[in-house]
Amino acid sequence: MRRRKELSDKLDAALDGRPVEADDDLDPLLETAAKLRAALEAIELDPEAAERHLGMVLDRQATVVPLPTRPRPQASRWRRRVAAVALAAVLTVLPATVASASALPGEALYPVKLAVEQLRVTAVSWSSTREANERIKITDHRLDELNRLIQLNAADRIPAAIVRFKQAYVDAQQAVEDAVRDSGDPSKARALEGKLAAVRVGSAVALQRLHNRLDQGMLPASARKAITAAIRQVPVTPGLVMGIPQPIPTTNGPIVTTPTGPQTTLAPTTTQAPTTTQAPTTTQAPTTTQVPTTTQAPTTTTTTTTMPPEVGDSPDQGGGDGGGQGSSGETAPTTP
Amino acid sequence: MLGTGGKPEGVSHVGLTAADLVAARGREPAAVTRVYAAYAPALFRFFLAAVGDRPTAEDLTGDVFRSAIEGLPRFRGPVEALGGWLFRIAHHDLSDFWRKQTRSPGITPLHDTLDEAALAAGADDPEELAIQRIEGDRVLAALRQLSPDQREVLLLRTAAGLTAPEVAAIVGKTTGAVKALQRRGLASLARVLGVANDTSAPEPLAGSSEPAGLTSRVEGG
Repeated sequence: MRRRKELSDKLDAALDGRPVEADDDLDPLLETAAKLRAALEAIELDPEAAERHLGMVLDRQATVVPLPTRPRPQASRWRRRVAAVALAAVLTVLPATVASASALPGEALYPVKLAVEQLRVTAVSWSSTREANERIKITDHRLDELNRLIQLNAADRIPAAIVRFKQAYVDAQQAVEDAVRDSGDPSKARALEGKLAAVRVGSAVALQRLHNRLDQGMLPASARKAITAAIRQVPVTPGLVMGIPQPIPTTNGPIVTTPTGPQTTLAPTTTQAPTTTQAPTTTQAPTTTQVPTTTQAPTTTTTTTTMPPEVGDSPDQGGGDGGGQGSSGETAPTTP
Repeated sequence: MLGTGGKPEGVSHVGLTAADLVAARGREPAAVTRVYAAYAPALFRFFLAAVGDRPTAEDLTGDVFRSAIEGLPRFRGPVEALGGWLFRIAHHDLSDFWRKQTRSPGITPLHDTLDEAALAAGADDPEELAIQRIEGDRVLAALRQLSPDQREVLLLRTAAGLTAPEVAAIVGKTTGAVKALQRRGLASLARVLGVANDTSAPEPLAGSSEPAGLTSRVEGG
């Protein structure tokens, strides 16, 4: 009787993670508990169900999709038609989780969107290929958000969107590398890398557009500072900004050009951290599954979270070194 | 964190704050989402392992979440107690579910639905995962052979990550009784799984809070 109570207490302590002395009676119980935990942890909640559940609660409040802020000048007929359809959609009260899919950073439902995305990643994390695909999709969402914010001239939200996009790209890139390594199937690998390359091209186009708007004065001059800082914040930046060869803004030192600094164009040289020139992201972010923080950033200031960055720091720390977008140890992640 | 005990994935690492709680009471979407992300996976595991049917487990999870958010203004405890509070709702909902099931027969066989759920979750999975799933199914099937009390205590300890005193408060037993139930439950489970040749007698089903009819269905399923 007493022995059983002792065993119960020891088992309870072990289940709580407190140290206990192993013995022949306890070990099989702990082994069984470990099996049970493993079986339970393999159970994943379907992201669709999660969306439904969140919708049940959040739909209690009417959710209205916000209108774009300003009408476009010289709208074509086609654009006017699109605007009319959009307006109809805006006037419709949408389920929260549906509305969240189009939420932009800074909007109330944006966290719902991020949570659902995370659930989707978790749901497919058993397959590195699926996870890579899911992460590429997320990167695409971040790019879409960036494009929409640029379109809205939402200067205050663009820097955070850039950082989020880059972080998503780093995660996707790592996931693709894992998937390529795991699958050993060249065609799958090519498909994934192709998708990622498409995102990279898209990012170059987006940033060119952003650059144009800055140059045209459609965004406040003060925005340039924060945007520049955001672009420099994560090591993956240069690859993204430079993208692949052609659509790259190569004149006027697009986003990286600071108001006062020299015209730092897209010099790919890494002036500060030459030792990390190649693919720092692959070594820095070994785990990209859940935790958004990248681990260990030996020579660069990598450790961004998926949260909005502090973009108020000096924008021009790389301005004098001629490094442009390639400064601060930033390197192209997947330059072929 | 739900409790000081186990750390089920997706539960303890989220780190809800008192501010989250206040915001969730006001139905602030970000906070509501954080509460959901923190607890829904564990609630779902708890229900699926208990009822063996994915759609039912999803419904039960959604119901608990909705009840919780609606009842949050009445929750006076600290944020650390939120997990215990949520699983208390889950415990009541599960009891209600069993009661309704006895009134209206026609429950789907548990084996079938669990297998179906496992298949749906990993339809085109590699071999390795398939083996893991088979092992997971075996463990969950063995879990269903325990008495309902043992099963629920083990689930509250392992799926929910609650401590023995927290579980005791939920199921209305003493901490000592909970510890004994978890020991006997794991011993029975070990025997069924062939982990050890435990000679202690399995806990009788008598005194269980689950309807007898269902118990027989579970065991027979």
